[in-house]
Amino acid sequence: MKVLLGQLRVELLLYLRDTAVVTFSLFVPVLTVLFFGYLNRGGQVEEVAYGSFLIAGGIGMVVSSAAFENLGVALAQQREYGVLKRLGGTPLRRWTLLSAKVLMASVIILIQALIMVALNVLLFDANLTGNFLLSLVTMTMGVISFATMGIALAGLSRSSDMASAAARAISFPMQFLCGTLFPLSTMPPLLRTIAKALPLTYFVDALRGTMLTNRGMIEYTKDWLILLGCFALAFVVAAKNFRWE
Amino acid sequence: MKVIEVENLHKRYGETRAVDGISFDVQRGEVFGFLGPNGAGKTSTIEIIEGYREADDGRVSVMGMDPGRDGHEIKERIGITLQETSLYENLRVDELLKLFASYYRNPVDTDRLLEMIGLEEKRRSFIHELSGGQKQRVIFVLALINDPELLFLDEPTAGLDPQSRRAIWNWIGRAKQDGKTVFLTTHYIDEAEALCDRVAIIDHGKIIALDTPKHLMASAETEQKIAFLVDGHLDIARLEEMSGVNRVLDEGHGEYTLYAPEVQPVLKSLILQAESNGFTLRGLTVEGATLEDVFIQLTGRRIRA
Repeated sequence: MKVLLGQLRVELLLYLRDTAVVTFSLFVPVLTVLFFGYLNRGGQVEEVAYGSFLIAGGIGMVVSSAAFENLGVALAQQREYGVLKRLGGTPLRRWTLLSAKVLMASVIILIQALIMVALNVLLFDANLTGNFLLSLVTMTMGVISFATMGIALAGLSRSSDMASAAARAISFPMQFLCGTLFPLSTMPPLLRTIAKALPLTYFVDALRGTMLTNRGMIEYTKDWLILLGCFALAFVVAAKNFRWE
Repeated sequence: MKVIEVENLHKRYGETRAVDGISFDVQRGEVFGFLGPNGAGKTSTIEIIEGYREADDGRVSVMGMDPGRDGHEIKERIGITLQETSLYENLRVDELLKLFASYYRNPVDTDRLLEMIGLEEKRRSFIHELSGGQKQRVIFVLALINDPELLFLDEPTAGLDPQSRRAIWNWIGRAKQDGKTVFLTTHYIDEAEALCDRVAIIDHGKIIALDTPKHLMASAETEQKIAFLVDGHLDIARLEEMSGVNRVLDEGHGEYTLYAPEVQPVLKSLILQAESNGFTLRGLTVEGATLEDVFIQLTGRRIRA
């Protein structure tokens, strides 16, 4: 436990000291949300204020970018530079290292999620009228599931360049297609089909439902099962492909 | 007592036999070296023993444990430096040392280690602000952070400036004094000679000789080099006449070099000749075979080739 917390502290320090990554991963989602929130200010989507609709979408963008572009790429880079190899010569267990990285991503995502909520509530008349507990359950599932996918992606990539290209190729379309900025119902059928094949869609759907409405758990069974399924798959791939060097 | 036992180790990468039937033991408290050119199989062997990769065949025991099965316990008790490695560049020196200390059950005081490597004033510097030599010192000291019984040093001074090299040699000597066992690889002849109690010369994945440096050098069937300086000039023919001298080189400025398989008779007649002909030998040096000569004799090529 002490090892895990120490490693988490270092992972957070390393993240915060990487100015380029912080700037990119923080400001791109924030600016996107500000831009779309301003464009559609006063508008309604599916009977809620666009600002309320945008919260879960913004958090979805943040989760995807943190999991793939930060966690996954950083892991592949540390492997490529030989940092991980040195760690592999110590008693540090791979599960401790990877858990610390997932926790690091969770902390970053949590902070960004709070920023998303604050922006939309303060600027775009958003209202959180849902179930806090179920939102938290969905958040936890989503973060762990996507972070594990990021780790699996690093394992599958031979080089950090490959990881970075793959992360962008996965994360970029997800950030715009998965019901983040516009509801699926307004999208052309082809894009809607693509969106339905992407896991972020189900995360954003469940998060939005739990944050804005008081429907019961049963409503989210499908979304949650899909997230759990993605986690299980990603976990197997990540465990099988993890390398210290 | 044997700290490392290796028996008939094999490792292939595709068609290349990186390790081709290597066997040796390392005794508690000794500094044991693998000397050989790059690509000889040194790193492959050391990384199998450290538990980084699995052997295709053969048996390895480290402190009585199997690196494949008891890797975690072994890592708790060994210290390593890797040949190609990098550190968290955006951590400060003390943060990095504390992080590594947190991985072990019984870490040593990191301040004392910083003092030892002379980097107390750099404790708050980022790793990326350190010079190459300073970084290498940090890499070295990370290997000592758990007060290990056994040190694995893969090319510990490759590419370093002479001052840093000397410093690391000193710390290796100190580790030995502290009762630690050291297994190092090097392609530097002088490093193997200066540090190792026993040296295994390795080439093409095989150990081609294994003994103390002195024994290895004594076993080399090479000429010894006797060099000296006199005032004025000597008659080369007279020197060549001495029994046991193979050839003589006039280096100019009164400097001469004799090559002979046996030193003792030549020195004796050289001194007699000096006395009877009235010249004084100055700056007399005798150079025996080096480990490089041993390597050349066994492989027919130089170690750097």
